[in-house]
Parts: sequence; C-alpha cells; structure tokens
Amino acid sequence: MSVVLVIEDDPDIRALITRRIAKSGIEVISAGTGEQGLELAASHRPNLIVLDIRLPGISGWQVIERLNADELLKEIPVLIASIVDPSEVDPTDESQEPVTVHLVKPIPRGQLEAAVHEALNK
Amino acid sequence: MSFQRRGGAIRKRLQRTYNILLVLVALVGTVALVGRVLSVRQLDTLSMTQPLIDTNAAYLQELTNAQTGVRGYRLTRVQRFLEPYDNALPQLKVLEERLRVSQVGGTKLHRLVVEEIARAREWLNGFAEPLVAQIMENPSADLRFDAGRGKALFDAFREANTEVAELGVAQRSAIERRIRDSARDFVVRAPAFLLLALGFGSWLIRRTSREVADPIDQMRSTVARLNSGDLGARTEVFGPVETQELAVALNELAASREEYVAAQEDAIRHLEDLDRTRSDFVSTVSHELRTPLTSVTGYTEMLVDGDAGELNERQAQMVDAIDRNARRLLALVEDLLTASRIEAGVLTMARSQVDLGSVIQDAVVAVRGNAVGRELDIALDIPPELGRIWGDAPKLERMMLNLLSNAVKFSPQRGRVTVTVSAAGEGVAIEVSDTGMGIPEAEQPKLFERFFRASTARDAVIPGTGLGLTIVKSIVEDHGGSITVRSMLGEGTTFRVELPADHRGRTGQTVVDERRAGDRG
Repeated sequence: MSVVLVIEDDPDIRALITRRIAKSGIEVISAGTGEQGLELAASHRPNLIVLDIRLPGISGWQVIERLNADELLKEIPVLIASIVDPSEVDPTDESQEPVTVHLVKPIPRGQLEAAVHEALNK
Repeated sequence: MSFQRRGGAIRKRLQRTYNILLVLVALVGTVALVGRVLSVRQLDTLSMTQPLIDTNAAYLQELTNAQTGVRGYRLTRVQRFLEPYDNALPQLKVLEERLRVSQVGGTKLHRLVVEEIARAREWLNGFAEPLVAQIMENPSADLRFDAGRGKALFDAFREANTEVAELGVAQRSAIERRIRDSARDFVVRAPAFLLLALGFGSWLIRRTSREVADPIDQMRSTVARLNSGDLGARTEVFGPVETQELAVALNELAASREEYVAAQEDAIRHLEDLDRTRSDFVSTVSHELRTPLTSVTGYTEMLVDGDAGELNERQAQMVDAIDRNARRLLALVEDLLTASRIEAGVLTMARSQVDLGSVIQDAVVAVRGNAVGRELDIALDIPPELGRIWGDAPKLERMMLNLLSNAVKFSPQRGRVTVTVSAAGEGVAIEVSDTGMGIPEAEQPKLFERFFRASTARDAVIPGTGLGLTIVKSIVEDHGGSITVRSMLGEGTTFRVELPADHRGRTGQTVVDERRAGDRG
C-alpha cells in the first residue's frame, strides 16, 4: 500500500491536503517542518512526498537538496504544493530534479488527487 | 579668490602689444625719414659745391683777362687794349662776392677762398692798378716797374686758385662718394631693419594671442569633456585675469553640476529602493493572504462535496456565498501580485503553441458563473479555421478572463456580451463588447493605468481594483500585440486585442520549447 508524506506548516492546509489524499484510500503521514519531514521520510520511506516551499526552519528547496544527497531517499518523487509560483523558480536549478509537479495553492478541485495518482502510478 | 596677475588683463595685454607695434611702425618711419633728410642735405651740399668750382674757374678767367688787358696796354699804350682789364674789374667784384658768401665745404676751403681773393687783390691793387695808373698819367714816359714781381704775384694767385679748385673737386667727389655709400648702406640696412621689426612684431602678436587663446582653448575642451559626460573634468586656472575668473567659474559650475547629478542619482536610488520595498511588501502580503484563502476555499470545497455530510439548501447557499467571495478575494490578491510582478519586471513568459479558441472558450465558461441570475447573453463568434498562436496559455487565459469579467460586470440586466475573433493580417483580432454604461471619452486614455477606475464604474459602485486592464495590457504587449478601446456612454464598450500569430517568427523554436515544457511537466 502506498504511503504519502505531506510536509506543510499550516495545520489547516495540512489537514485539508491529508484528507483529500486519504479520501482515495492512500495512507498519509504528515510533518509541520522540513526537519521533521526528513526524519519521517527516513523512517517510513514514503512513495511520494507532497512538499510546501515556505516552511519554518529549512525551506522546501533545502528539503529537496537533502533528499537528493541521501542515496536511499533520492528516488522518492516530490510534488510541490506551494504558494510560490513556478515562474518565480529558477528553471535551471538542479535541485528540482525529483520534482514531478509544481502545484500552486489554492489547488483547484481534483488537481491534487490527479497529480498524486499519476506520481504513484509511474 | 585671488589670482596671480601675470601680465594683467586681456585688455592691458592687447593694448601693450598694440603700443609696441605702434612704436615699431614709428621707428621704421623715423629711420626712413632721417635717411631721406640726410640724403637731401648731401645733395644740397653737392649742388652748392659745383657753383663754387665754376665761380672759382670764372674768377681765374676774369683775372687772366685782366692780366691780358694790362699786358696789352703796357705794351701798346693804346687804351683799347685795356678793355679786358676794365671789363674784368666789375666781374671780379661780383665773383669775389659770390666766392665769399659760398660757405660750402667747411672752413678750410673758405680760408683758401679768402687767401685766393687776397692774392688776387695783391696783384690787382698792388701791381696792376698802379701800373695802369702810371701809364694813364703819362703814356709816353718810361715805365718803372718790376715785371718779375707782377708775375710772382699772379703766380701766387694762380696757385691759390688751383688749390681752391682742387679742394672743391676733392670735396665734390667726397660728397658724391658719401651719397653713393649711404645709398648702398640704406639698400642693405633698411630691409634688414624692416625684417627685424616684422619678426619682432609677429612674435609679439603670436605671444599675445597665445596668452589669451590658450586658456580659452583649455576651457573649450573642458566644456566638451563635461558635455560628453565626464563630470569630473576641470580646467586649469591660468592666463589673464578674465580667463582665470572664467576658469574658476567653470570649475565651480562643473563641481556643482557633479554634486547635483550625484544627489539626483542618490534620490533615484532611494526611490528605487522604496519601490522595491513596496513591491516586496505587496508580494509578501499577497502570499500571506493566499495561505488562509487556500484553507477557506479548500474547506468550502469539501463542504460542497459533502465530506462533512450532505448540506441542506440553506447551508449550501451560505457555503456557496463563502466560496464565491473567497474566490473573489483570491482573484484580487492574484491581480495585486501580477501587477507587482509587472512592475518589478519579473513576469516571465512560458511560451508554446496555444489554441486560442479553447483558451477563449474556457474563459467564457469560467465567467458564466458570474453572469448567473443576470440573464446575460454571452455570444461567441470564433471561426473554425482559427489556428494556434505562439504565446503563454495561462496568461492569455488571464487576459480573456479579465476582459470578459469586466464585460459581464458592467453589463446591465439582460445585457449582451459578444466575443468576436477574426484574422487580422498575419495574426488574430479579439473583440470583447458589452452593452454596458460606457466610459467617458476623456477617461479612455487613462484606462490602462494602474488603479485607475472609470467614473461611471465608481458612480455605479461596481467593485474592482483598477488592476485588471493594466494586467491585460501588459500581457498583450508581452505577446507583441496591441489593445484599443471604443466606447459610447450608455451604449457600451468594445476592447480590441490584436495578437501576432508568431511573435518571434521562428517555427523551429516551437518544437524545442514544447519538448522542454513536456519534460518539466
């Protein structure tokens, strides 16, 4: 059974995303900070990480960098769900390598679910 | 400020130079005049020496005549033979007078002349006259006279006469020689002197013009450097007092200009900082507003979807009101964010081949929700053969959404909104018309300015930020297109957007970009 890790600092949005993904029968674990998220990623080896960029402590980009640095975690696909517009992100940045989709919050109805399913079924 | 007074002012320098030149001219003139006067005097002397020589010769001739007369008379005792003597006497007096008054040739000649006359008189008075008187007294008596003495006296006279003649001739040739010599000297010296004067004069003129012109040239090149943007250019302070004052003034002017420009640059930098701060602030606030709005819209969506159980009709209506207003707030935040990105120049374009028809249709579907309950007629006229254009799909959709939501917003009950797409040259023209209140003509040029709202919209209390059309214009221009407006008060408004088919005009680029976009997705 697939496990999705949600890293999101806003508790309301974290609950919202968790519910929307869990509705389709996927197991969801969640973290409020990047550091906590990395710990959960190491201990649970999720199939997908849904990541916010603006986080207290280390940012989403730093989370991706650390995932990339870890041989066991670098293969996990990352789905960004952020307020930050992808047009504000440097497209030549290598750190984005495992990012499959960049969704801008608020994510329209159905798009999050579709993106999660697509990433898991790859 | 004190100046080194090297040579004084320009006026003084010029006057000094002119004065020196005047003195030179006067000097040359004087030399020429003196030369001329001297030569005239020499010629005078020459012209007076010749008559003396002639008179002297005549004197000899007359005295010889007298001697001849005396001799004839003595031998013949005939009165007739004495005629030359009688004739000579008055002549001799006249000639003596002439000789005496001719003061030419210096004292030596004069002394000789006096001597000569004395000798002549010795012969005349001391020999000839007594002899003639003796014969006249008694022509038949024997003559008692010393013939040798008469000869000696006459010879003494002749000797004196010769001396005068020789000295006269010698003096004449001496004067002639002097005239020749001085003429020759003049021919040699005058040009040399003239050349010297000319050389000195031109050197003086050149020096004076350099003294005045050099500092002016310096200032001219400094001004040229200042004008070409070298704000630190300064001129050297030298030369006459006037140019020194000008140079100091020029330097002060340049310094104050440099300060002014620096102050201006500071002010511009400060304003840019402020603008950046404001932009950053707008961006931050927008992001911060979006976070809670994400929760609001997300949870209302879940309520609508029945995640918390089925809603009754009144609950559904309330949730719908929350959802609509949250989305409106979100759209405003979006507009603010886009406007701040346009201002910051960071609104990037992700171009690909865009199916304009479906973009327009999607936008129409999205705004239909706003038109609910207004009985609006939204008509769409898109030609089936409409191709793709090169552009940024989300931004083009945003453009259509802004235009359409305006049209819907300003349309009255049972109004009509028309979207017409047609070919325009190489590209397409999109017209969005409404049957709304219209925009006063005077306000039409300001319509695309940030935060500008038409007075008709404000009077009718129709909500809006005044950012929608600013964003539309920016998107249109980023696509290389143009936007115009036609409006009649009370009849409606039409916005016309013209977009080129391929802004970049390169089809090869399209494939590459699409592939890259695909990789990223």
